[in-house]
Amino acid sequence: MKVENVTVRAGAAVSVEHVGVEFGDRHGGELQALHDVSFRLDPGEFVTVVGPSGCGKTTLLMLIAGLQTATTGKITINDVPVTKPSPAMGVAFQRDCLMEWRTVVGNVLAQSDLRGWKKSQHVDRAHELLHMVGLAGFERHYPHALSGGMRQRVSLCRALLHDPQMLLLDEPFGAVDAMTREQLNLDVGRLCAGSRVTTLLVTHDINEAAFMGDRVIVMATRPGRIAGIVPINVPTPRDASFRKDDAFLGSTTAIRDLLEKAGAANG
Amino acid sequence: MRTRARAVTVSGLRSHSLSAAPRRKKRSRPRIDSFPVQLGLVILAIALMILGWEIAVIAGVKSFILPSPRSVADALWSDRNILAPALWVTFKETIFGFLIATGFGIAIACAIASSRVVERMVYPLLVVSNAVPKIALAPIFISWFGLGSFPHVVIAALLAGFPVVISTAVGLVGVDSGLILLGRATNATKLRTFALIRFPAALPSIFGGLKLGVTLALTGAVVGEFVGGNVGLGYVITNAQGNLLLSRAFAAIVVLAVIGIALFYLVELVEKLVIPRK
Repeated sequence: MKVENVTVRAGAAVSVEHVGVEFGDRHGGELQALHDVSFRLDPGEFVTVVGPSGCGKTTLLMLIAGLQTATTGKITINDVPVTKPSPAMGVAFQRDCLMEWRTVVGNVLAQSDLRGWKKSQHVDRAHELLHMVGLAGFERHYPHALSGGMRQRVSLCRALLHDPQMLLLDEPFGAVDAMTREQLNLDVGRLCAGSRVTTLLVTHDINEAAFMGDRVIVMATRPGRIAGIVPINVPTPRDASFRKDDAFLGSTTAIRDLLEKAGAANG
Repeated sequence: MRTRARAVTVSGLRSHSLSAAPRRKKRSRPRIDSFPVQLGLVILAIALMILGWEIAVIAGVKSFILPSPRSVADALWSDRNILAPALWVTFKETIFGFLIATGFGIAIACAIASSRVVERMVYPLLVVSNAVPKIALAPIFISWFGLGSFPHVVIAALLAGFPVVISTAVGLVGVDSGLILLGRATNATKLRTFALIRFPAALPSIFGGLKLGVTLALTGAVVGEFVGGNVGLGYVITNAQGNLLLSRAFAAIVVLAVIGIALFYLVELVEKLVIPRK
């Protein structure tokens, strides 16, 4: 995959300060989905969030996306508080959420159509992105003709169409097989590094988190909180050989230790 | 079902560059779901039915109870001056009724889908009135609107309207939540969310309702003609029955079946043109 010709633009700086989310349950009590979560994302950084289900990692992503509001605390993107979805943001969800009635290129362009932007300005970019993820020649296909991995690539191109400063990925590779997943990890790493976009990837896969992240935020449940942050001191994007590296093993072990310790504390 | 099977074949051909290399080999042998085989099977089924009918007549069922297939075919030709104008009347009533049902049905469903208040007001009413057998209202419409074609159009529209409203509303409300989230993430306006996500996503469901509706519109028109008036194929049937001309009544039923099938496939054709996903 080629990464030249990518618009170089500074990624966003994100700050999450003492964020908490509480849901009222039906017995009048309160459920803490997130408790006192704080971290920062530097421009162009690739940060992964890993944790068991129910730890609030998707909630965290929704908060940064402006699709949910926090009960307490503050989130800013480039020092501007998040109140609604920012146009400088691109999101890809766990399910690819493609429009079955649109062609591949039409699905990528949905990003600008839904925003009411002029289509003609983005057509070239759409083709360029599809080329970069290896989908050249599939522009006129409908999604039902694509494999799960290909569909996710289309979803990713849609998220990147408007050259966002901030990319939010919610377990985008959860539904594809392990081999495709490793290939997608490589492709996405290069794509994001090439476009300098600040990326937050939520996953429940420890290996994926360690392979892709400059830093890994490890989360724990009840209440959803940060158990620790593991920096991985090998520059991204990394190539496949990193999976066999001692640094990789060390990182996954550190993540596992954090998860185990948090699990033991919960009993 | 036949055309569905063909669509699958076409998409298989188009996507063969992806994965269908072995699929092409199988093509040398005609498959059960290929179009010519399907057509042949349907023709065979109809031929067997007519054969059974002929046997029953030969075996001694009286012609004033069951006219022979041949006498029905004769009536189709010899009564063409009665059947053709009646066909035109019933066809027009059905089309007008169906178009009214489509227009109002989709509009009402859009109102239901876009406003909670309207939904809470209209939906229970809809459920209650759907439970009323609508053909029971036919005599009332005849007494309101007279003996012409108009009450028949009203009954056709009423019968066809319900499936259109319900399928459209279900389609519009039941859109994949992920797509709605995508709309929110891209700050799409309510109108854009509707035009670019909800409506296109609901189209398969809408066409499901339209296919039910078009058949019910024909039923409504014929029921109207049974109850009152002196036009249309429904009237031809009741009149022929009164005069013991059973082969003419059967001929009219054959014509109705042809209209019904033609209209159904017409809607399906429009669906194929509007939904380009295959």
